[in-house]
Amino acid sequence: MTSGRARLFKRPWDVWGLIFVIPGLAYFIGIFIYPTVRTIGISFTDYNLFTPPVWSGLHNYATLFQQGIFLGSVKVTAIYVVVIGVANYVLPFLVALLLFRSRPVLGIGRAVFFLPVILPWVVVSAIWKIFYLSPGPIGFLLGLVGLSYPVNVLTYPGTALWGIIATAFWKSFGFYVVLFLTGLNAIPETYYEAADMDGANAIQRFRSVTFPLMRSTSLFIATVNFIGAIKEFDPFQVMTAGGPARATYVLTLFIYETAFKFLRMGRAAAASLIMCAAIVLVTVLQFRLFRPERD
Amino acid sequence: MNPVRTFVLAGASALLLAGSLWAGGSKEPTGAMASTAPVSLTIWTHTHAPANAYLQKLVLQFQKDHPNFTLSYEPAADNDTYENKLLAALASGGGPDIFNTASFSDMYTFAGLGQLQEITPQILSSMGFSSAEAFKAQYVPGIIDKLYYNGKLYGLYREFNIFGLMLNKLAFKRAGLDATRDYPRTWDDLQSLAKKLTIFDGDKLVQTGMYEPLWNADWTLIPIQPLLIQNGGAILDSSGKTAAINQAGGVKTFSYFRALARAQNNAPVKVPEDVWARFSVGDVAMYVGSTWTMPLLKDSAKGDARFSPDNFVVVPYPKAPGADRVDAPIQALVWCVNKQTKSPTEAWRFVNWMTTGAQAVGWYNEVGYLLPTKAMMDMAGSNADVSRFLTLAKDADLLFAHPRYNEIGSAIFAAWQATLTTDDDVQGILDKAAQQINEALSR
Repeated sequence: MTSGRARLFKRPWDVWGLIFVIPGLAYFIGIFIYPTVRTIGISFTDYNLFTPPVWSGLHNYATLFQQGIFLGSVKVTAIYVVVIGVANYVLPFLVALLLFRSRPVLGIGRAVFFLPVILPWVVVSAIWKIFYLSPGPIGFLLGLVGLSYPVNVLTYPGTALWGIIATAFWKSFGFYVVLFLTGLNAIPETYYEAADMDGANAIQRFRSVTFPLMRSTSLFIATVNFIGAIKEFDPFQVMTAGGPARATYVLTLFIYETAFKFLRMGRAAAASLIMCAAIVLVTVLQFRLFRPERD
Repeated sequence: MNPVRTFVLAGASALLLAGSLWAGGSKEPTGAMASTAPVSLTIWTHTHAPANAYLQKLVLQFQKDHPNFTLSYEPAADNDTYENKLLAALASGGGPDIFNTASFSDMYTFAGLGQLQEITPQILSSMGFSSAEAFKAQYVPGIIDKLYYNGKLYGLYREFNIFGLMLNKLAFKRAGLDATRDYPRTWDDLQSLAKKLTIFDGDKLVQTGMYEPLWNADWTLIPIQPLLIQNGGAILDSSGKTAAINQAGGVKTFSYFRALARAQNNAPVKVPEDVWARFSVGDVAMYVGSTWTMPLLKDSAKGDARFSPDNFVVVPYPKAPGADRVDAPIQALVWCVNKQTKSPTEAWRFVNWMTTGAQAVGWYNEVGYLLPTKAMMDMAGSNADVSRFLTLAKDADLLFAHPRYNEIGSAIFAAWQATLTTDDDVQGILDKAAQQINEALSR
């Protein structure tokens, strides 16, 4: 009879394989699995970091949905995610199409648009915070064309979020242009030749060739864009700290403050898990929406 | 009697006690306490260049006088992250032996969480004090009582900043006014003066009348609290368990500050940055300030010829009709000792030494921090600046503090921003803040 150990390690290199996997596995368990399981556990407790957690059942979840400040942060996050999601899909796609058709400027355009991507978010946020001052650089540039910039957009609740959205778009736009260009490059030229032979115009070429063959790229971009946007923290913390009057108080700021300023780790953990659930749900929907068609 | 009110009265008495116990420096321990066993202590503070330099000097001096002490001083690299760094360190069971809290309320918060080493009678005894009363005798009568939490003493003052209304004479002159004569006595005066002192050149703001701090939660209460109290309002009701900010006094106060901003064509909202730089050269006419403000203004002016200490006048906060007191705010920070320290007695011994006697006077001379010690009160007789601020202390109260202040302050700050930057109903804004405060207090 073969022993269990022998069945597990049929060949001598299986043992070595396992040994080599252990560091990666330990890292994965330590950095991803354990914190996730611990977060789930903490979300059912009252925990302030200093005294042992006390079981509170679903109280944190129930409280969150009655808490105006949490619901407000969900609303601000939703506006940000939708606006930046659409902007980061439509405009980079259009620019990528234009660049793709203008091969001589492709290299330069790609480099110019990609430059902001390599800057750290904190640096970008600090710089744009200065740009938005009034009087400041934006006011100066607008003044050159006869326009006025009387107030700092980050100062008023009605405009602050749009100021951050503009900054976020400026920072991430180039990244998505490059991704779209990569996707466009992967479409075989023969499809366009066939479309030309059929007498297709530019719109028909886009609708029947480009767009369907960009589904995988679109799925990747939509997913990365959504997850990146919902997790955004730095510009909100650095540029406005969630203000004025919580107009830019996104979910990540709520979680951060609830945990590390208000010492309500259980409630922050519950909010994190709700955010995680939202990410999973929307990502599944995106997969269904952009799933490549099978014949 | 309000302990702060006694500040100045006690100061006069203190002048008569020249050569008393503390005149030659703080009381140093004797006997069993004066151990020569090696002691190693780590000190963390938020960062303020003059304070960092002075504390480093005190550290070196103390080590020279006490060779068995090794003191490691680490000022924060960044004030914005200091509180979080401290929190993370304490939560992990580590952290410094001695630290200053990021706010007065933090002392209550950390004490409530069992993270602070109290100053026990044994520690007092080993420091050479026969009783708590003997220890308190170094200070303004009654002032140390504010540092008790659940009957235990958990801190000593690091700074005790009495705020007054600070006026820039240049800005007044630009509007054809004289700051020494035309300063505001009432809140109505303040509003009409702010309007006169605000100057626009087309869309461009040239001069702000009265600045209203919009971007920093910690500063929100400094302008608000005096008027709130004068209007009979409060942040919490008398039970301390329910928000009262949305009651009549709160609504009246927030409505006033909205009207103040509107009277200035929203000037305080339009340029929220660089207020110290603008105030230092006269582009802001009125703001709040304390004894440490002048060194900051000098730094902020960056050599601009328009800056001079002589350009500034400090006057009491305005008074509402019928109010019997001004209730100037006092913003205090506290030294605490980590519960996990291996040398609690030695840690408190160092803190006590560096905040009393000649060292306390040094905090004022080198940093601009006032401390409520008798040594400091003695200075009032010979230093006009100290005397001016101590005069303000006659009508002063510590800023609101609470173990749940971070949540309460966050709600008030959001309400303050909404009041100044929107036209939403003030009652509705404060109802929302009250709801958030009640949520914070509920568990």
